[in-house]
Amino acid sequence: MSSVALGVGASSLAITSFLTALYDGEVDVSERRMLKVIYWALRWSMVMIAVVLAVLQWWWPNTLIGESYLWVLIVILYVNAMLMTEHLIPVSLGPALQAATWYTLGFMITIELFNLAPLTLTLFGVLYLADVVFFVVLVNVGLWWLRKKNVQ
Amino acid sequence: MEIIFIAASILLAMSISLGVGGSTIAIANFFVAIADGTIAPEERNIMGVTYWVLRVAMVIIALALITHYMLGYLDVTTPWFGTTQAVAAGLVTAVLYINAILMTYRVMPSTFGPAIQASSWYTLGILAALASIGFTQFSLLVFIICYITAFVFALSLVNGIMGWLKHTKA
Repeated sequence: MSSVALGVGASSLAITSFLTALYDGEVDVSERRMLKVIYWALRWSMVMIAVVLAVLQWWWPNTLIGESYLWVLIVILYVNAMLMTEHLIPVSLGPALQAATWYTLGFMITIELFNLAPLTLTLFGVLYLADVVFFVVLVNVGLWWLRKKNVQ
Repeated sequence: MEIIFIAASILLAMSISLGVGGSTIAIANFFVAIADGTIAPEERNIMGVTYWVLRVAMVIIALALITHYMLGYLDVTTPWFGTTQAVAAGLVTAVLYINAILMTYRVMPSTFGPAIQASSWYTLGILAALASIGFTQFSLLVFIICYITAFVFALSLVNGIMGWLKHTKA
């Protein structure tokens, strides 16, 4: 849960800091250095999640690990991270998808661990879709506003 | 009422997540920024964003905790209200607020401030993780000893890295 917490916090900061760095139209060296710290924290939490899940699978095979949503989200996190690193996914989609995946992971784990509601495929689908739409709109509105401001 | 309880629980867990991640990045970014001896305006801007995210997380935590306490007091929900976990979460949140205010007004020295804040965020994160596995009743004295241990660990780590940065710069 701590790795997911680190991921949720760091992904929020990744987006807000990226938009802040772009405020003057370009990302300079010092800003790039600080963004790298955030990306390393995200990578660290992704590795920790994989390690913890492997340990859980080994010792307690019938716990959280059996949930398919968990694997779907983790695969998306890894694949999207690789696509972003290789610049194969546009800036308008990659970071938003990553933040939405982290947040959905956080929401689903909270709901499951605290037994707040029955976990269904519909709940997962609606939550993930809502998160993706929210972050795509947020990032693109931010980028559009920055472009407009820098043109003026 | 149940919907309010579920919403408050999710908000509490997510804002603690935001705080744990945010405080880790805040400290790491501070070290990266100070490594060359000065904090550039661009670096200060990004650190400012991090502090705002942490403030947002703190406000949501306070609201969610108050909602939980009220629901518990009105006997609407679980017996969580009476557990040591609830007292401990309230205590750590109070420390977070007081320390943040003292740091903002530069009353708290930088030797202690960031370490108190980081150890408080992580303690809150660990409390939430323990609650998720049903571990909510424990001795308050044991909790305080663990909290102080976390603070001493954070204090050594933060000041150790600061000392090392000063040494390498010299």
